[in-house]
Amino acid sequence: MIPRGDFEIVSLLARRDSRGLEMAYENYAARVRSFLYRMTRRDDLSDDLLQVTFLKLAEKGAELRHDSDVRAWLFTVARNAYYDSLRLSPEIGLTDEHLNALPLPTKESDAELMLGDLEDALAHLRRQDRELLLLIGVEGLSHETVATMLHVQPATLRQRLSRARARLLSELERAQAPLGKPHERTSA
Amino acid sequence: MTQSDSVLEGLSKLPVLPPSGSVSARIKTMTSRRLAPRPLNPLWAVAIAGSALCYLAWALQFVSALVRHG
Repeated sequence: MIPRGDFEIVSLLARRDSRGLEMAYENYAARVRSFLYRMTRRDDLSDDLLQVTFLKLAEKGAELRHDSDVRAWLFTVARNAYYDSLRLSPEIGLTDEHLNALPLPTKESDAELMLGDLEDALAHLRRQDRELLLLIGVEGLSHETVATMLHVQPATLRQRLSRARARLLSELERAQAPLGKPHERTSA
Repeated sequence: MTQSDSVLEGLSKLPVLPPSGSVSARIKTMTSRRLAPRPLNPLWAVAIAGSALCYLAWALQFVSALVRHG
């Protein structure tokens, strides 16, 4: 289901009206940036990739179809920008050094501890698992939208999601067991 | 609710991590510049004006030739 605001954004962008960009930025920049930050774990890189994403919208926005899902389009561009940046600098991917440097949860309440654990467990997943859980679990994109984004069949996506959930659960269990112990994991 | 469903529910509660104000300002400035219609290259303007003048001159010559031989 396409958010109602997207029709207005697309029609403004078709007229190269900057209000369309502003609306898109207000509605989606924070979510796209959250996704990028959780993929890269770097403030500077996630800001740069957010900039690339919105520059692309400024460039190509006028060509969007009137029924385009702007949010899905932005996440697709952001994801492509992330993978492009990985191709240019493979060291962007989390290394063991990065993983060990990640702060362990130090929050007081159970709810905060749970969220801290989740962030930590997410950061230790393989990229492909992480992006699936972020797009569907965190950003709430539909299975169909994400299947289109990733160019996979919905059935394949469900299988991959189920495996990603299982890996997240096992990471969570591992993280919650010996709190404070250095991580002994490797990233893909 | 299964354990993995509760994990997915937990994921939806993760906080949003918005860009800082200065980053937003920078991106907004750059994107509105990119959105603005690009000004016509002066060479194109000269070429278009030149071809229009040539056409008008040719049309004038054609009409005057018609009048002379008519």
